[in-house]
Amino acid sequence: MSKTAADAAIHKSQSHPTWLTWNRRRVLVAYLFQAPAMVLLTIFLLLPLISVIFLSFTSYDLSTMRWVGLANYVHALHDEQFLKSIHNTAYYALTNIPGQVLLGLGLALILNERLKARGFFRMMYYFPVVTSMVVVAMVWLWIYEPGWGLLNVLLKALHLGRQNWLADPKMAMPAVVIMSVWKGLGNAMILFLAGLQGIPEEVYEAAKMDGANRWHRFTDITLPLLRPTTLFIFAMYCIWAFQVFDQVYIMTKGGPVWSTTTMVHQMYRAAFLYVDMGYAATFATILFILVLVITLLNLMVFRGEVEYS
Amino acid sequence: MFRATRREFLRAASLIAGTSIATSVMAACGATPSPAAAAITQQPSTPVQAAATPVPTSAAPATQVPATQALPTETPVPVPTATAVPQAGQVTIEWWVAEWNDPVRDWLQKDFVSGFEKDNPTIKVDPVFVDWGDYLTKLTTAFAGGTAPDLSAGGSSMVATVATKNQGTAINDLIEEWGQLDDFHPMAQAVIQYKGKIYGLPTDIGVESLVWRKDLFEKANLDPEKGPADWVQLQDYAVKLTERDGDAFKVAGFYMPMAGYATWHAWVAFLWQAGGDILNEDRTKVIINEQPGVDALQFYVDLMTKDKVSPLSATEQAGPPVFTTGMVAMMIGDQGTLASVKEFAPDLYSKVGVLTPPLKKVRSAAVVFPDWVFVTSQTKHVREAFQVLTTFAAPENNVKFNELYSTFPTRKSATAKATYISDDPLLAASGKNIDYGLPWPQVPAFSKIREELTPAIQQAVTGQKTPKQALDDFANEIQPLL
Repeated sequence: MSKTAADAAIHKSQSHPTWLTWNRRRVLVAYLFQAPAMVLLTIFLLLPLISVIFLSFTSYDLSTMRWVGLANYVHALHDEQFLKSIHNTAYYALTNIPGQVLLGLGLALILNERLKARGFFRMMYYFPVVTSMVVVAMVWLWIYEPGWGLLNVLLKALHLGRQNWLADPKMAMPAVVIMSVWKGLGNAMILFLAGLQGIPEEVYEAAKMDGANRWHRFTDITLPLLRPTTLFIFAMYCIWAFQVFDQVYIMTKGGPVWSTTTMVHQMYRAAFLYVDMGYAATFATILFILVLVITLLNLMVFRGEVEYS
Repeated sequence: MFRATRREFLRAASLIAGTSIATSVMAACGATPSPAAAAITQQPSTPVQAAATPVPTSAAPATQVPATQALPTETPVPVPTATAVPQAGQVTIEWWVAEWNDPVRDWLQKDFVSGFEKDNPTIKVDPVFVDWGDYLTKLTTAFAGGTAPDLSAGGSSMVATVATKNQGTAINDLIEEWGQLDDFHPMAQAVIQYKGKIYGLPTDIGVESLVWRKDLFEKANLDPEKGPADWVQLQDYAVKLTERDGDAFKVAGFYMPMAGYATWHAWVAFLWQAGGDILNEDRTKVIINEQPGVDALQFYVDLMTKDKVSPLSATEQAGPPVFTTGMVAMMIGDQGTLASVKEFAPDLYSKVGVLTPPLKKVRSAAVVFPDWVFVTSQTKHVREAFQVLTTFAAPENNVKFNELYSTFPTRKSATAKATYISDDPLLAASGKNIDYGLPWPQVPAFSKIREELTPAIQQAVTGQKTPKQALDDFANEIQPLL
C-alpha cells in the first residue's frame, strides 16, 4: 500500500465512529466499575475533607458560624500549646518509627531463620498488636506509676535509680514511645517477614557462590529487595505516628505540663472541650498538609524498584 | 443455554452495579438517624468511673462507684417493653444518664420509668446510659448532628457552656410554676443557672473530704480517731505517717494526685482554705495568683518536694486503690472512695476516718460538686421533659437515686429522710462537709481554667516554675477570656 493510501486508511480508521465509540465504551465501562468506590470515597473522604478545610476558615461552636478567614491559622501559629504539640508529634514520629522499623526488621530477620518454635515467637511478638490500645495503655500506666509501679520496682531490684516516668515532663514522651514501640513492632515484624519471604532463595545462593558474606548479602540483596515493603511501612507508620492520640489521651492527657500533647490531642481538646470546631478544623487541615508532604517525600525517597534476575 | 458476548455481559453488570449503588445511597440518605445508634454505648455491666477512666468534667466523682449494691426492696414491677411502639399522641423523652451504676440503671428502668409512665400515659421515657468518660464527646457530636437527647446529664461546671453554646433550654417559667426550687441546697442551685436563666435541676451532690487509715495512724502513734485539723497538723501527720525505702514509697503519708483533673480538684480545696479563690466575686478578674493562692501552692510544693510525703503520681485515679491497699495513709477522697472501700475491702471500712469540718488555714473549705440534668435546646417537648425531671427530683426519688449512687441528695427535704446517710457515720461526716463548699465559677472560660490549672500545679511541683510564676502565667492565660 502506498504511503498516502496508508495514511488515508489510518485517518479513515481514526475518524471511524465505530472505532471511537468502542474505545470510549471501554473507558466508560472502566469508570463504571470504579464508580462504586469513587462514590464512597467522595462521600466519606472527599466531601468531609472539603468541609473541614472550609470550617477551618470559620468560627463555629455548633450554634453559630462566622467567617474569620485566616484568623484561626494565625492563632494556631502563635498558640504555644499547638506549637508544642507539633514538636511532640515530630519527636514521637522520629523515635517511634525508627524504633518499630529497626526492631521489626531485626525480629523478622531472626524469625525468618529456621528456628524451633519460631511460630510461637512470631505469635507472641504479634500479640500486643492485636490487643486493644486502651487495655495496653491502662496496664502500662500502672507499670510506669512512679510510686508503686512494676518498672520502678524492677529498677530498684537491679540497684538502678527509679524514674518518675509519666510524671516527669522529660521522661513522659519517651515512656509513651517505649510503650508504643512495644505494642506496634509486631506489625512491622510481620510485614518485613512477608517481604523477606518474597525474596528468592536463588539470589542469596548466587551471592554466596560469588563470595558475598552475610553482611554483603544483607546490604546488597535483602535491603534493596525489601524497598517496596520498607516504603509501605514507612509511609503507613508516618501517617499513624502523626495521628497518635489513644495512648496520650489515656495515659497522660497530654501532660505533665503538655509534654506529651500531640496534634490530634489538641484537635480533640479544641473540638470537644472548648467546642471550637473552626479551630479544631484548622489543626486537622495543618495535620493533613503535613502528612501529605511527608508521604510524598517518602514516595520520592523510596521510589524505584530493584530487581535481580 | 443463554450466551452473552463480553460486551453484553459488561453492560449488564455495570447496569446492575450502578443501580445497586444508587439505591443504597438514596436509602442511606433517606434513613432517619437513630439517636440510640449515634455512637452511644450502653454498658449494662460497667460501673461508672472505672479505674483510670478519663473524666471530662470537674463534677464526676473521683473514684469508682461500686458496681453492686443491694437492690431496692420494693415490689418488682414489670419491665417496660423496650420495643413498645408509642401510641398516637404519645411523646418519647430521651434522657442521657451519665450518673449511673448497675443498681441505678435497674431502678431507673424497672421502677422509676414504669411508675412514671403509668402516671403519665402520654409520656414515654427512654433512658440511655452513657459513661462519663466519653460523655462530652458523644454529647457534642449529638448536638452537631442534631440528635441531642431531650434531657442530658450535666457536670457541676457545665452550665455556662450549656448556656453560651445554645445547648440548653431556659425553663425559668416552668420552675416558677413548679415552685420547689428553694428546697434545693444552695450549692446545688448554683450549678443550674447562668445569668439568671435556669436550665435544669440538680440531681446529686459529691463532696471531697480528707480520709485517713486509722490502722496506719495507730502504727505512727497518732490518735486514730482524730484527723489533722489544719495545715500544720496535716504536714506533721503526713511526715510521721510516711515510710520510705530510699526513694521508693512504702506508705505515702498524704497522697497528692499529680495527673488529670484529680490534681486541681484536690488542690482547689487548699486554695479556698487559704482564703483565696480562682476568680473574684463577680467573675471578672483572676485572683488565684494573689497571696493566698501562692501560699496554697507553695504548701503543696513543700509537701511534695521538701517533706516528700507523696510520690509523683501519673495515674489520675490511683488514690482509692492505693488507699485501700494501705500504701497511702491520708488522701482527699469523696463518697465514692468510701463506697469503694466498702465494696472491695469491707473489713477496712471501720478503720477509715473522715475529717469534718474540713482542713483549715484561714477557713475550712471543701470541694463540693453537684451534678444536674438539663433540658436540651433540641428537645421538641420541653414541658414533658420537665415533667420527667421534676418527677425524678421528687424527694423520695432524690433519696433513692442518691442512695444507689452513693452520693448526697440535692433537696433538703430529701436529706432529712436519707437514713442511708444517718446510719453510716463516715457518710454522715462526709455529708456535713457540703456546707463548707464554695461555688465554682460558672463562666464559659471554666473549661479552659480546669485544663490549665493542672499544668500550672505540675510546673510548680516539678520545679519548672515557682508557685508565683506558675499562677501568674495561669492568670495571664485566663484573664483575656473573662
